[in-house]
Amino acid sequence: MSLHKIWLIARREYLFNVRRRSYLFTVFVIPIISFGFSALSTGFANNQLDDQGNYQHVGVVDQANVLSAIMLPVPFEKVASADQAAAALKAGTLDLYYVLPANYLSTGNIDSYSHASVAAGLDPAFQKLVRQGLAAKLKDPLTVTRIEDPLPKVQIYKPGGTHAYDQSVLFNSIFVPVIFGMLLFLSTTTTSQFLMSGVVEEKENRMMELLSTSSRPSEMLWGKILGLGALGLTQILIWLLLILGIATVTSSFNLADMLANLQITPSLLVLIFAYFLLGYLLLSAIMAGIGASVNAEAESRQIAGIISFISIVPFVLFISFLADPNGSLPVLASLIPLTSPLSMIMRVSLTTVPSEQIVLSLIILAMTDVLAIWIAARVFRLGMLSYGKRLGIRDVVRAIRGGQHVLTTTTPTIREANAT
Amino acid sequence: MNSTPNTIEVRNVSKRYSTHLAVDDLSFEVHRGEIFSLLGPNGAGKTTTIRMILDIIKPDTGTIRVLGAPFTEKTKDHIGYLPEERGLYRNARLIELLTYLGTLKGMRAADAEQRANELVDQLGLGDNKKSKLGELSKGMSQKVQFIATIIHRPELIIIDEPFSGLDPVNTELIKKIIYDLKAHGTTIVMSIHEMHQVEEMADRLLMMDRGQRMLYGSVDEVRQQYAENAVIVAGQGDWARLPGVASISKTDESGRSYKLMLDTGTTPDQIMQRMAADPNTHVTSFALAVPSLNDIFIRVAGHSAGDVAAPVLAAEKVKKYEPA
Repeated sequence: MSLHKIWLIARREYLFNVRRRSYLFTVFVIPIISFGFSALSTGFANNQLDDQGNYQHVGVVDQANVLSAIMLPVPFEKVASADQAAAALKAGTLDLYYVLPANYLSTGNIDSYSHASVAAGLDPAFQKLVRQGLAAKLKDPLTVTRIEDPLPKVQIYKPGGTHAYDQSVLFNSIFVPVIFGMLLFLSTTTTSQFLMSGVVEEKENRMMELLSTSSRPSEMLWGKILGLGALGLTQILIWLLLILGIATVTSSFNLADMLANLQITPSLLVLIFAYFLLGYLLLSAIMAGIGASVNAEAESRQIAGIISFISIVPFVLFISFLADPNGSLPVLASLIPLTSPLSMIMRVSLTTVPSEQIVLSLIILAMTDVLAIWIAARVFRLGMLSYGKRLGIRDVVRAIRGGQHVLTTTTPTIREANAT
Repeated sequence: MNSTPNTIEVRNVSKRYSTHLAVDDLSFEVHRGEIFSLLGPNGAGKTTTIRMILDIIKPDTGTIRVLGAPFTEKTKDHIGYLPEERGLYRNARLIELLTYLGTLKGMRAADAEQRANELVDQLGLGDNKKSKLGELSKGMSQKVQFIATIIHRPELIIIDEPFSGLDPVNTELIKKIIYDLKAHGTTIVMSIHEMHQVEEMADRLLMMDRGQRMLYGSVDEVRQQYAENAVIVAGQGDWARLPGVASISKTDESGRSYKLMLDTGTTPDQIMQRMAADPNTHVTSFALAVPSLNDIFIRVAGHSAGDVAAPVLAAEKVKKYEPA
């Protein structure tokens, strides 16, 4: 293989695809949309919580005598009976009222009446009020305070470690695998699908035959894999810069602190990179093989969709990972080649994974890569010359075994020639 | 690259696809600097032969030498190939793509870009340098593909159907460039259906049918090989009664022109003298009956002439002689 030709092909694939609209869309528009959505929904939720405008007069019918010891803050006010409250709601002097029935302490039942469809009974302000009322029945003020807010500050230590993490670590240990999983998934699937559609295009528009008299199929394959791999890395880099940029703008923060809090150690970064690389190689080899064996873009997309879905299965199983990261399902998923990159990163972020499992997972993935690329090169060689024809499983198997190449010129096809 | 007289040497090459013998013990040579034409009905094995020469597929048996040596990756840099089924990246831009293809053939980027610009101007595509290829007309794309074939100054170019889809003006343009290339020593192999183009352009030809060599040699040799001892005449006279005429037949429906088959011992010259001497005979046209390549093609590949996609020339080609 000529490294120079691989470089030329890789460079061309990179420069061509980096300017594609769909690439720019994935890189810039998708993060903006997702940031926009999360900002919007957070804002919306906050707004709802803060918004007492809808409930300026909230009645409380305290038949259980829970709130007798405390003063009710605005907007809450005591109402003597349920009938009065109902009349007030009807008259519009109350927006909402709660009834704590006499058996509240034993049953926990509370009734909420309002014109709104929202479950106003879940209002945290009211919850706090009831909690205060209950606590006030106790004598010790400190106990009252703790009952009101039992876990205000929890320090988290790792065995033998002295660094105290705050509670955000719980969030981060979920946040890290999800974010990196998304990055990994988005960049590998977009780039490997670019690879596939590139191959399909070259088949469809007959560039293959011209290219094959300029370079070897293996050079084309490697050129594409490397060029588009660089494209995927660019994408991840841009996203990381965007995240850092937004974090810097929105809050003053210290990068080292953040990384420490996110629990991203250099060895985790290396691991993420290794899985990105090996996972991408596998996906792109599969996609190149699919691209070379199908006949039309639409057809290839279906198969590619299935492959992409398999690699996102760990997300679907997220709850099992969260519940027991070292359970048999997560362990199995972190060893199977297509699912292992995401699974292992999730497990490593959630728990301490035995190093032999990591090594085994990487070895299996790397060996599958070698096999997949070897097969892809063979299918590529065969597929790129069989225009207007979808390679059947038998053709592919034959190509893999290196048997007789079944190649057709456009006219006549072998079948036609045999028929005459 | 080498000094051997033959640019291509094909020796006893066979290629079988499952049960179908695509190429059957084929041998031929293409001489350095000539225009060599590859003929045959569809399915004759031309494209398979070309693909074996280009090392895209391997022959089952036999040997092929290109540019004086067995095919290597390095050989690719010295060959330009325009496949029959051709296309280009629709979203690529003209000069960019040509430069890329040039560099893939081992050119330096600056050199490739300069040459791409020259050729694009030469072929009248100067206004489309920044265009995406998908925006070009079919004829324009074909010219772009032709440029891609020759951009790296190959020693050998192989073109499948160079003129299909081209209007007469562009056909002449491409033809002129092919002659220029030949004048600079480039060897050109064309697989082609238009017989009149073969007669006009080709030095030598190979006609294949069902994977086998049917005709091979210089265009003149092949035509003479199939020449009959006959003349075509028009005018008035009782041609059948002339001494030395074995039989006559009409050459067209108007009945003014006849083909006279001559006895073995009689030459066209003698017949012309006898006509001139005969007072009852008035000759307006006299010609030797040399078959056109098209006739030979149909005669040789007769059983499969129906497969011939190219237009068949209606009139018999004749060499004109003024009556003495």
